[in-house]
Amino acid sequence: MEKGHNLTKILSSYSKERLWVALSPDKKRVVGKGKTPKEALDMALKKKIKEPSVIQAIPDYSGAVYSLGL
Amino acid sequence: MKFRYWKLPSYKTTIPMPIIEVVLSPPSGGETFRYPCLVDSGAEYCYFHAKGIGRDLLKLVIEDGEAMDIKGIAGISLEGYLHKIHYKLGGWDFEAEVCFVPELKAPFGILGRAGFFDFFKVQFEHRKEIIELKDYQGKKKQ
Repeated sequence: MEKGHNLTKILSSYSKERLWVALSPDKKRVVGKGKTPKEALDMALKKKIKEPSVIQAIPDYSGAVYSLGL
Repeated sequence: MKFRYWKLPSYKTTIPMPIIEVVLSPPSGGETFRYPCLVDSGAEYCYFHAKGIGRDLLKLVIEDGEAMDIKGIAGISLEGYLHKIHYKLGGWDFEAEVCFVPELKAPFGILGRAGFFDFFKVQFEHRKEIIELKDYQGKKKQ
């Protein structure tokens, strides 16, 4: 089974500015950040991180019908 | 293959969400990255960020895709562009049509019916916060 990840703490420093972050493969470290996915990914790749994961940090992921609210 | 929900920040401290990462690479060559996506049977298509993911990382010319209107819950219509791309997920490898949306506000991608649910039998065990995927050949990847 693929592990779940708890990103509650590690995203908190970046959520106010709604930054995009790149996460390490184990999702325990933020290895890149920026206003776009590319900025975050480039920072991670400079650190030789393999296949970083890019997601936008926001304060609250609840309450949205993402597919309909778009 | 089973996937545990991810826990993300919410006003209640945390919210478990059915998130699965897809692995993407630019068709023209370049760095591979992972893109967390919400599994959402309410979405007709898979919706990815047009500028941040499609243009900047996959190096697609977004406007070259087939243009389509996407209607939201508030009746607002957004423009999207369909592109065929390859993605990997849990050991599977697919070519799928994905809609790239310039004004997508979601903080991750969306895996919807076309391009995801049409490849997998998807079972949610919401109380246990687990999603199970089986492909239509009945194969379960461990």
